[in-house]
Amino acid sequence: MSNITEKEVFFDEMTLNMGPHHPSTHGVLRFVLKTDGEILKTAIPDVGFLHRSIEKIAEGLTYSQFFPYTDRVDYLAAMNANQAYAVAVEKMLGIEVPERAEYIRVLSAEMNRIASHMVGVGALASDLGAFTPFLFNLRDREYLYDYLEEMCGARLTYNYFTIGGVHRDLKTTTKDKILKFVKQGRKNLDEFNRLIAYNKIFIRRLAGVAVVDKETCIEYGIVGPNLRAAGVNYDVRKDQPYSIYDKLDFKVPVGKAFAASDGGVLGDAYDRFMVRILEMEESYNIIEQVLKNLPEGEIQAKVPRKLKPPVGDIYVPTESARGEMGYYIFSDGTDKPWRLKIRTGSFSAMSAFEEISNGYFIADLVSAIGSFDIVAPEVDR
Amino acid sequence: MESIANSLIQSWGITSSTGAQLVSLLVMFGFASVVLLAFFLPFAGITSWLERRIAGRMQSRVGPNINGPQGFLQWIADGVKAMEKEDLMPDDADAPLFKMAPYFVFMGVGATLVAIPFSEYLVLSDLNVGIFYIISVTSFVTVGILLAGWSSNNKWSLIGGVRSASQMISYEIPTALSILTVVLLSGSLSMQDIVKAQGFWPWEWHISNNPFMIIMFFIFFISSLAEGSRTPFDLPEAESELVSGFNTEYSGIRFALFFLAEWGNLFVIGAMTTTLFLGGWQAPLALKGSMWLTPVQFMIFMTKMSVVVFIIIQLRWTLPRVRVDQLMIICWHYFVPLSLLSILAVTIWMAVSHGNSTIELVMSIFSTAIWLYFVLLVLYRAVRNFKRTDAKLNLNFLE
Amino acid sequence: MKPSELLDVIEAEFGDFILESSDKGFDPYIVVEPDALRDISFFLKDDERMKFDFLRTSLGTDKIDFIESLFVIYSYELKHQLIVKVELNHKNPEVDTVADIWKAANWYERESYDLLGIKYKDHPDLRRLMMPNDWVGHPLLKDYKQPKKYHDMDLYRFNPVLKVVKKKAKKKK
Repeated sequence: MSNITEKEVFFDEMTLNMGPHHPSTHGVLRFVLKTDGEILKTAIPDVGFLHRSIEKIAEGLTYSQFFPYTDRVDYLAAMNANQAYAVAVEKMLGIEVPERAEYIRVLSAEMNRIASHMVGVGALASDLGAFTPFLFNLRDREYLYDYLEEMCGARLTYNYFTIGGVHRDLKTTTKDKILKFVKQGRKNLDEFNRLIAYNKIFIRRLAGVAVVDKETCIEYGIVGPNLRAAGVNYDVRKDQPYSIYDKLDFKVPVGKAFAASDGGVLGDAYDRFMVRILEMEESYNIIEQVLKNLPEGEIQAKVPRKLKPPVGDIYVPTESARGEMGYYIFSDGTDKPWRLKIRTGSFSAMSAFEEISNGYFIADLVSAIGSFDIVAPEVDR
Repeated sequence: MESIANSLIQSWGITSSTGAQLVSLLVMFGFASVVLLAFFLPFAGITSWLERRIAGRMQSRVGPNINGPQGFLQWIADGVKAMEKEDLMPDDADAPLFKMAPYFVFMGVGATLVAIPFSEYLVLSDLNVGIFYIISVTSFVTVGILLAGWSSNNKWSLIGGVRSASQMISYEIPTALSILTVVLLSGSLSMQDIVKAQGFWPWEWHISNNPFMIIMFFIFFISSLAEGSRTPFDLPEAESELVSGFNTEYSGIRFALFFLAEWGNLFVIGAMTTTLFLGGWQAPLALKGSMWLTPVQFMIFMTKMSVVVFIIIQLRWTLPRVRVDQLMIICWHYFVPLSLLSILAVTIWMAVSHGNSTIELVMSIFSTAIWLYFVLLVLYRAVRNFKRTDAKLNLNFLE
Repeated sequence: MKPSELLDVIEAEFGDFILESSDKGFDPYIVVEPDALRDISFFLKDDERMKFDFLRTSLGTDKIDFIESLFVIYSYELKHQLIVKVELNHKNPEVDTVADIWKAANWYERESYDLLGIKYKDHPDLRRLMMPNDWVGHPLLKDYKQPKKYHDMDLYRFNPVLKVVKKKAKKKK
């Protein structure tokens, strides 16, 4: 006993492994927790289990062959991922997309944003023990899948966009069905709110938990609904608009301590949850506007067979469901990109975990991961 | 039951010596346990089927509907599957404790069935300390869960076991205090006496005795949920946080025993609630002395118990989980002071009313009005929510 | 600020250390000497006319003669964007870290180290991010050859279709 020095024996710290196989981490993520009883000292993330080297693959494919890979970067909001890549390449090549194609693009992107947020908030609710609201959202997602399947033939990974437009047109029957769905969808969202968003136990579980204030968000590069919940009014669709977003009329929800009466502060998990729900309502508005003003025309611009952009590099941000998805493309004049980098919102959110997780309960860590809406393929690409 | 067993033994012509008394004791035990298991195990299984179907319909999907008519044989299939699985045990696990833990939990729940009255004559053993016996026997579950968490040699199970032990020990206090008020009102610890102190009509139940008994009913109900680890208090087995908590390392029939104990506990909670607060097996006085008495009493008991079980199942699939420290705050900051206050109020009320039946009747009808108002409010809200979503009530649950 | 005004201000302050700057391409960029990177970064973050508080991304590119490390910064208030590049040689790609100026750069620089071999001096925690900890080599380099095995696991999978196609080609000849 006399040989043990004080440095070697730790009484308070227990190292736990919240491993890759875990029902609550959204995807294949691993956390090494250092805890003191129930309270965490830090949670160190360990990523790379889903690394598929998409950026290296892009260096051997032409620009139009790369679209299926963009789906798989974020399979829950695949249309938004498609749009990010299409906007970047079209800006490099200087191609102008016809109006009808732009409207259809925005329609599918917003539908996918609703679907992705449904999974995001539903997964947060089901991690906290309320299984029924998640399944209600999945039921609504089935309707969205049906309409997207009528549009492009696939349910989850669409490969719908092409350089210069979309590759299948939108039928009038689908358009009417989507308009009818929007009415029912608003009522279902209201039911979801009454079921879980105004529930006292749920609010108490999320109020004041995992607070990330404005300065931390900006320093760590956290974007998207997480940034807006901290009070920063920044949305790529309004500040650096692309496509037809400057013609549409929609509001950007910003967090304002929605749970203040129950001990909530600006930038806590409940704010992030409510910002996503309000964004879903705004997306319904956008879909209605788009469908009412849909012009006639062609759906694909005339592009040359071999796309050879001029030498140079560009960084184009767009707003995906999880934040800013930006593409950095460096082209050397041939028809294959020399370097392509995908910047995703979940990556920045993961990188902030080591510092902000000091002082959580283990149960709060689960709420934090769910409220940041982290998807593993976005982190690892 | 005791008299039947005694008459059986005497018909075999055994004299009263110590050896024969021992044999008669063993025969009684064997008889009682056979009856217990034959009633308890199917009921636990049927509750599991009921829960899965109700959960499915609530989430706009169908539950199990393939094995047998309406999926009724699903629980038998699950039991057979659990029995034929490989019996794993971690290498460094504490073998005797690991094997003993499920039996503690199962025994803690099963032994309570001995004293529950299903009708005036259908009770396995009418102990004169009935309710006290039930409270003490349910503490075995805590021991079993602690053993399971510790002996699995797994940090996550340990956290789950310790959380669960602290939760169960804390919530025994409000449970016991609310039972104390019922005992005060009925004047005896025996379960049959508690039921006989109530009547058939809703204003003769213990819940309608005075408004504080409504508070006691809620505290008892919620504390029993916390004892049985049901959502919103199911942190020990929180699926998404600890991968099943203290029963992570269990497989096969040992795992099934934990879950049978949980569903059996639902049954026990329902039975206790109806016996203590909702009038038990009391049937209308007009039926006294007819041969329909026992079946009608049994049906009344089962109906009330099924309503309580249904509410518990619905609560599980609607509400999110409460966090560990919030759980403790609810118990110690709110429930314990409230129950102590209510005991004081009930004793004052009993001293004031002092057997004066008109005052008691007036107070009973007043309290009945209060809890009927809340029930009607819930129904009204449900109908209004339905209309708001334009949902259609699909009563065709046989498809 | 317009891109040309931005570049004028920066060149006025640090004229010697900027090797190249242009706003004629798609995005305005400057190429900086490796030694002056930290001073320029502090200036870009703190100066009143610049106020670049948001590091969008940081990456590396393998251009065959040299390795390039760059980061893209943006200002929320003044709404302008800039790309800052540094050129390093293949044999010893070392450059100062900006992880203490913009904390977002922490994981991006770990990723560049992992995939391209760029070493960042004084980085708080420089270890591999995506690849396993004992991987040899840096995958995103242009002359990278993938090993055949990793800890007794085959990294190339036998493709039966390819064998049949090769046989048919041989038969035709």
